[in-house]
Amino acid sequence: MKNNSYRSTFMRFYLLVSISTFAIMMSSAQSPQLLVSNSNKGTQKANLQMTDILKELEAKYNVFFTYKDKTLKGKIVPQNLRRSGKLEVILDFLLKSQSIEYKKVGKVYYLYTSEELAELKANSVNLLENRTSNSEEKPFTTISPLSSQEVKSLIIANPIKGKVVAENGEPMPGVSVRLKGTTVGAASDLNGNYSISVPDKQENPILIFSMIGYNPMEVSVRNRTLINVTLNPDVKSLSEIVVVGYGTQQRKDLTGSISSIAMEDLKTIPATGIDQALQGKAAGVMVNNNSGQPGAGVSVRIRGITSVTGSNEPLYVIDGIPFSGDGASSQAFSAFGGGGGQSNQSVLSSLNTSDIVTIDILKDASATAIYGARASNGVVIITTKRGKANESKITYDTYFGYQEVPKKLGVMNLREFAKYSNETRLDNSQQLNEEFANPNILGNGTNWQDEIFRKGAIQNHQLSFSGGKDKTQYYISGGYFKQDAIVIGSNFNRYSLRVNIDNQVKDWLKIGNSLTISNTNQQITLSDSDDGVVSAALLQSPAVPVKLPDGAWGGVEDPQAYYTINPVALALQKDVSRKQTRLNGNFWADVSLYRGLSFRAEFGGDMGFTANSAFNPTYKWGKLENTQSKLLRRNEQSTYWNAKAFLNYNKVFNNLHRVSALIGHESQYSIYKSVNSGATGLTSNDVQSLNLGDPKLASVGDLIIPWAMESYLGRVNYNYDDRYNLTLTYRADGSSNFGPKKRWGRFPSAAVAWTISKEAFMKDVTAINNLKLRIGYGSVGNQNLPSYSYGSLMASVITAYGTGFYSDKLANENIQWESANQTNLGLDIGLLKGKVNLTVDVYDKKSSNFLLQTSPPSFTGVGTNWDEVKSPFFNAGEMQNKGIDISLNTTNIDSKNFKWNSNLVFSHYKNRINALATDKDVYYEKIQYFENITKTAVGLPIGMFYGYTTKGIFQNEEEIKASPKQTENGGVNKWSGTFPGDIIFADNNGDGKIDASDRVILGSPHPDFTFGFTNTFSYKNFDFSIFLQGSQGAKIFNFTRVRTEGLTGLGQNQLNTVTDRWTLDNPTGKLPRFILGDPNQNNRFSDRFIEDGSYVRIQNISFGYTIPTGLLDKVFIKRLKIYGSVQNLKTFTKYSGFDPELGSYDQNSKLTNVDNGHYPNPRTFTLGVNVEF
Amino acid sequence: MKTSFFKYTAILGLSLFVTTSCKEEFLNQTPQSAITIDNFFQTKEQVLASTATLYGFPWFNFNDRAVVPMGDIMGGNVHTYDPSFQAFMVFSVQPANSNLAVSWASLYKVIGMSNTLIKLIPEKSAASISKEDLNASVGEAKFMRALAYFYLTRLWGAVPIVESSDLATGDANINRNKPEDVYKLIIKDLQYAEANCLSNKSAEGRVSIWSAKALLAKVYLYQKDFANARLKAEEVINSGQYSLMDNYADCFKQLKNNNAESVFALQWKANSDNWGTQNTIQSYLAPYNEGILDTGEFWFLCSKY
Repeated sequence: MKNNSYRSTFMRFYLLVSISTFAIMMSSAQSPQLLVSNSNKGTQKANLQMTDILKELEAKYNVFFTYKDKTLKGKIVPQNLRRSGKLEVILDFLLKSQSIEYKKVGKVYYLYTSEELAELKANSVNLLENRTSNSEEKPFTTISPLSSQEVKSLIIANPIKGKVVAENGEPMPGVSVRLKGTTVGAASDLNGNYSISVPDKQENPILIFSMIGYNPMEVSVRNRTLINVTLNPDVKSLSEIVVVGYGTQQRKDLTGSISSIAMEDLKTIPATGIDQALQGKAAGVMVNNNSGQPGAGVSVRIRGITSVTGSNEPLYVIDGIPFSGDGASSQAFSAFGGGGGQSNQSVLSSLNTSDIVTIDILKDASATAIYGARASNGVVIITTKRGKANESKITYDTYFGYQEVPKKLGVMNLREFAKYSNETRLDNSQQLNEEFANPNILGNGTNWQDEIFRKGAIQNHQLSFSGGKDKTQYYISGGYFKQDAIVIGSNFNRYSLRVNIDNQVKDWLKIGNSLTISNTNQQITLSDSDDGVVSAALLQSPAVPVKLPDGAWGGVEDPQAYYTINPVALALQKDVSRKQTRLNGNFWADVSLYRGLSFRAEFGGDMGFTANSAFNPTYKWGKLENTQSKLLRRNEQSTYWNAKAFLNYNKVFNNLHRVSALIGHESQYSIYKSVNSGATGLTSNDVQSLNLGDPKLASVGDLIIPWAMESYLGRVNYNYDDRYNLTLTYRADGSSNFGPKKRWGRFPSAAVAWTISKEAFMKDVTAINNLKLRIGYGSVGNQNLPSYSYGSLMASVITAYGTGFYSDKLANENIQWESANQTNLGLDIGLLKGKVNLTVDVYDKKSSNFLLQTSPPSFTGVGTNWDEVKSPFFNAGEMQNKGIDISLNTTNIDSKNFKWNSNLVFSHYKNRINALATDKDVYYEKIQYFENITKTAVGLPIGMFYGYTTKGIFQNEEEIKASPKQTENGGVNKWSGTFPGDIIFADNNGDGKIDASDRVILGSPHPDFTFGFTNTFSYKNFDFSIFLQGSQGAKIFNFTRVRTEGLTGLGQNQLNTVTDRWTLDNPTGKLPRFILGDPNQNNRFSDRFIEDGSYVRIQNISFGYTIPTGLLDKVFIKRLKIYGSVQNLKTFTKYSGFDPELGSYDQNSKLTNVDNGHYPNPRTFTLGVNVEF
Repeated sequence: MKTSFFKYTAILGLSLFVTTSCKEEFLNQTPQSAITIDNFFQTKEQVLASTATLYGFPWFNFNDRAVVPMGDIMGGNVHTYDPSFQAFMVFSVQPANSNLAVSWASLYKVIGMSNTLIKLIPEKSAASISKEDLNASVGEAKFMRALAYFYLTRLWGAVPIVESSDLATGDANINRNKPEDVYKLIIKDLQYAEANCLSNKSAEGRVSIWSAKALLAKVYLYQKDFANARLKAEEVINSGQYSLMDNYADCFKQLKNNNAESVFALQWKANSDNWGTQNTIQSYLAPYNEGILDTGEFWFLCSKY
């Protein structure tokens, strides 16, 4: 490689090494011997030594030079050297002619040749990955220049030799070795060997070994000449840099509650979007995949549920650009009639996960307050990779694998189905199916689950280039991700490109940018609907073939049969897709002004272009026929920009008071435009074009929604003596979503932290290396209200005088943000030199002012029904979440070859609605056409399951007569009333009849706790990790079973549990009788369908091997890792459905844990390679 | 010096660029694909398009569910097999009968929409529209409100007087008002319409001062104020704007809507995409194929009341 490729090295590890290696330093602050003015040019004496002129410059410019003796030995100053003006100019002239490079850090200039640098660089490779603070903040000052006396004393000193190794036994180059109390120093070489001379006269000499990222070590020499030492890494969590929003902070200075996750830990988890991979990794953060459909929405709940009526998704901030966590909804199947299923797409699915370097999750109000009115649901800050100077790197990451459904449900095969069909038809006086006359001679029939589930290939490729010289660093990557999902007809792929650049334009000016372009394509299958593909696969009769011999789709011909959908045809014929091109990024300039004061300006944006298409062809599946095709297209264009300007101030006073402050302004604007168009009666199923529809039935419309926000923000961090920390944050947000009378919301927070372990009285408690107490309180908001909810639009209606307009709802100019006030109490404990780290946070979060709509009496002239002038929105209500987040990191074994680390996160919250508009207000939610299934009311947690309770099965008519009337019609009647074999519903209010008022709370979809438990082991170059994840105590409403154990429809397959239904011959049957039409309403929503949703899942197992460095040098590979991983290997649960991880239906927190033909999460096997050149 | 110059120019430039201080309008973002109450009412036509809504759609449920059962069925003119209307036929109407609630709500919807327009038209209309035109439109709304209260108090007696839609945002726990107070409001509203509405009979059936006078005459009759009733009735009769149809049956034909006898009528418009803008009564009552309707089919016929 060319020498000058290293010229601009600017990294702290290099500096450390260089300082240490050039242990004999020649610079001094002695008074200048020669001061040659500019006018003396040409008259100076000949053969002036380089070292002399450097001394002169040192004095004149108040700087220091450090170099090895031999570097400058015999080097002579050119004759025509200028000695005034800019020092850099002088040096460039002076040194370049001698092929000497220099590097400036603070006041110190390091001089070296390119050979020396190459050597250093080789030594320092292992240190690159340390996530430490910026070198500029802490100039290396532990070694001061030697005086000439000291240099002389070295000559008569005793040499001590030894080797420095890391805790894993690897030699450590570049470790600084220093004689305590002197300026005598040395550094270890490539092999970790060092040699230092201790002057004879030194009494009781002590050597100090130090290295950034490692704990310094003091060793008494005691007349030894060979001293080998092992350095232990500094406790990572203490020196870690945390992104806090509009800046960074060291973890030790934090006062709020922030969980940080390094992408390194998520690397082997194959996920479409990073939100999925966060599951079980951060305390207080509950992540559920709402659907196994690739790219589908994910529910991320930070510290419980915050909003009753609005969104509960956190704010994502990717390299400074905020993104709402609300998924994008597609125009989908509901437009064709029937259930729409879930079509929500995760915002993060367009972000290439391989580009991410860290994720910081801000949880409490003191941490999130800097995001003000967008922060009530927590903030997830995602930072992407950036280039590092002097580190040219090419990496290629890839994995291949396949996905499969982890579980199939036991439904009846053809023989069982025929027998069941014969029995039930006979009992219900229906005509028997002749083909089923002798079930025993039949085969298994169609296994619909085998037909719709497949092994889907998954692959990911990412090629990145990063590096840079002293002034410019870059990171460029290209990625490709493709996922064929486990249900036919659904898949996802993504192309992405990223360019991140940093540049030091001037001493005082630094600029940079992040830019990414992605293109995603999502094919959606109808799921989470009782006419969806997954439900249909369970319900369609095994007697129906997928295709007929002539190639046409199979279908149901039996006129009595109830279920007519061909699931395979549904998956493959009805086509919904969402194609998106997204471009986002920002650029910024950082200007240093004066002594710790700097100014930063940032401009960023996000543009999205989406083509969403939904097509319903003409088809004939047996007797189910669609004769009119329909095509809907929605083209969306969204534009967002933000502009930020802020001043930063960082200063240390008297080495005791550290102050950092921030004050800024931000403005944001977005506009969303969509054009909807539709065609009906297309002439072809093969060409999906609007042009082919019937012109008379064409439809068109558009939607344009602008939004703007302006903010002022400020933050002060104060630290006294590393013991006391104070953080004050304030943000004022004006949003166009707020009513004109409440346009500005103000969000203050304050927090303090006390690092007890730094107190003098803790000095002797060596078992505790970190003990910190944090307390904070703050107020944040949620401005994510429907646009213009405060105002009144003119709605149109047909009148005899043409189109008439009336105001659609009453305005309320006082509409404001939803508020969330949170108190956080945290404790950080580090034990056994950082081998055990425990963080516990307890919180009390009260959210209020939800956006509600009044239900006034009808004489007010307004209401909430579709044909009424709507009542105004207003803010009311209060909800509380109390909880605890625990995370425990331990280093269990840490020997030379074998290491074992554990990480446990535990989250618990308790949710309660304290108030709604009035105490009597109740919100119900239903799915599809079903009755209300959840209830949200004062005194309860949000979204509780709500329905009837059951008391077994009626065995005879006497029992029915002695019981409360089960239905309105009531009475003993096989066909229209209650009959033996029917479910006994409980008369919970004791009024002698069963009706809607007997419904009670049946269970909670909220878990008692969730946890994640990761264990990583490494032995030499092998590593292994196992990650368990689980949820305890949440209930699930298994709506799928309402259908699959419904026992009411002919020609509809059922779970094989229905063989244990009540019949005269089987009076102990667990399920009720089969009866057409369900006159007793056995299937009304009751505790029959509530199941325990607790589970423990082996979420990920991975096994990797890193090929030893030396072996690959010849093929120019720096690092090569091969790994295999299994995602979602095994789930331990009592839940009878496909998958107990259900999330919230289209992210709606009032419809959590409802299984309606859920698209299960896949099991994924992958094989991956990371190569670094 | 040079550095400082660049530096501060850069800062200044960046500051101006990034903090471009937003004026208050920046935060005033309203939907651009729909029209709001603030940018409507800009022309006389738009104001008329707002009062046009009062002639049909808010009356729909009252017309559909009350006019026939509470009128002709209870009057003994109609026999029905419709179970929800049978109670009216046999005078056994229970409070829970859904026809009562929706009819009540429908009349108050007329009142609510009228209230909104009475407030919005003077407040939001462009200055270029003449005061007379605005007052005529407010008069239409007041006429509709009076008519709705007239039905309300005749059917229910004491009813709450709601003159502003602000009630929906505040405490809606209000008392009913005595019928005499309701009549005071009705007369006041009709007198406003009498003073401000169109001075000539509208060919398309809009409210005119003559509609107001005619309704006033009827209201006075209910008040037993026969002198005023006679006065208003004679004004209409002698106005020369109205005459009797040659053929009485023509009064009921759709094609003869807004004829010489028509003083005021609701104006319906059938449309296959909008439920609730058509007149359903004809499909309940009109004999099939008698030439009363211009088409012979079920719901989506055009007709005017």
